[in-house]
Amino acid sequence: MSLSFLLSLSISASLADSLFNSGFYEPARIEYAREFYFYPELRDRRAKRLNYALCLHHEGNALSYFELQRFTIDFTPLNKDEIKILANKYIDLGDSYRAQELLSATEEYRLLAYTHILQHQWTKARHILRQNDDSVLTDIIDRYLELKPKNANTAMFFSAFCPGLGETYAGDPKTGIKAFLVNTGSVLLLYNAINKKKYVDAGLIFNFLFQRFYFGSIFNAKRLVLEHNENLESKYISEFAEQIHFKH
Amino acid sequence: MLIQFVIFFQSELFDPTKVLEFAGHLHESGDYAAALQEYSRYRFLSDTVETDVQTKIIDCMIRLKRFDDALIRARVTGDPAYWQGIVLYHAARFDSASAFLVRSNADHEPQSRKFIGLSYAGQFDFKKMSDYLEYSRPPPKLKKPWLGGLLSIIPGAGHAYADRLGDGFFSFLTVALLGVVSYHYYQTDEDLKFGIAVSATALFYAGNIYGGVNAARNYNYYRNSEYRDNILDVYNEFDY
Repeated sequence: MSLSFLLSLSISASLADSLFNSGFYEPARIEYAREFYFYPELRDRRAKRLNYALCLHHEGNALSYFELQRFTIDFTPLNKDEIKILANKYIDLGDSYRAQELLSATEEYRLLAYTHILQHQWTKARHILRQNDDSVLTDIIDRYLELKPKNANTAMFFSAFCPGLGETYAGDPKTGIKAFLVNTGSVLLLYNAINKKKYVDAGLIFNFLFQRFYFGSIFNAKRLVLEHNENLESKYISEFAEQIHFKH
Repeated sequence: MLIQFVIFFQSELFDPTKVLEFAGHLHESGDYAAALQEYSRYRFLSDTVETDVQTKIIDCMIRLKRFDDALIRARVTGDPAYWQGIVLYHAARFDSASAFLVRSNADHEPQSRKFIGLSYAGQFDFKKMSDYLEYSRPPPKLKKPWLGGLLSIIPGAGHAYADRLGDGFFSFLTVALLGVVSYHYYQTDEDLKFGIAVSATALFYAGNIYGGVNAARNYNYYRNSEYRDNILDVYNEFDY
């Protein structure tokens, strides 16, 4: 056996790799760092560099994003498996745009569609899935698109017209009833004060009660609609992620 | 056979000199948790431990905010008083730090003086600090909290004195408005409403005085912190 063969055998079976393969990411990261320090030429080995970046990612280390980017720059063109791993990690780190960039030239259409969904581009995702005849995932998107999200401006208009109506439209009738009652109460107090020509009382009621409840109801209606839409979208995103076996 | 190859070629795993070299590299790159592990490994592998290693271990522990562990380590160094003083300084226990630092060995005297000075700076006692550290910029001019409270007799003036004009204006407006409302109810003989309004006025007036004192205190804290940060730009607290 030649020395170079022994060397390559030893390096390929390094402690860092063993630790990484056994799921001990923190010690593996230190061992990779040791290898790179004593044998700088190993930084050119794509498997080791990728594993190092993944160790950082598993640790939740803030440097992981930077290391993934460096890997992408240093080893372009990337192979299919690397693209898939990197795209998954970028999505996990909240950068679906970079993941999309990597996936656009691959056959990983499901993950690509997922990145579009994360950017709220449901119709684009649907288009990609239909091109690839994926009826299961298209069905999830169709079901979501059929729902039609509620309009925040409509809710605000409803509450401006009749306090509590916007909240009810947003799907929270309990808050709607409460808003209606406190607004009715403050209007009655205001009316009573004006009727008795107690303008200081009226001013205090207007400032400290009425305007607070009235405008509060309008903004509450908007907030509830936005929350409702977000929850609905999250539910379908989760269903989609489950279907493609994506785990955060 | 394969394991033998691995051990043979990865001699840096067990060679104390290489372990120490790698620990130094990790320390320099700011990975203190990993550096601490490597230094501990070096202590385990090596027959003779370099004196520098103990202080590097203490430094790692300080940076990881493991002050209790660092204190235990500091007690077994060549100059326990000095190192305990350093650890206590970083743990923001400035009084205790100074008490230990004055007892440190003569060879650590210049550094001890520096850290005693920094301990006084940590307590915002810049006059005493100047006995130990040379720093040319004059200390900040502070506001008197009692004067902030006294000025707040005129609502908002205490805040304005502490450079918080916006808060002062808002405070004045609140108290004045409630005062006017109270006066109105007093004039119209509406006793219950007057009672509520005057109570609210008294409450906000008291709050305004307390706020005036607090505004001056906060002003002093920010100015002192700023001054101390400038001192730390000149005197590195991690240079032992």
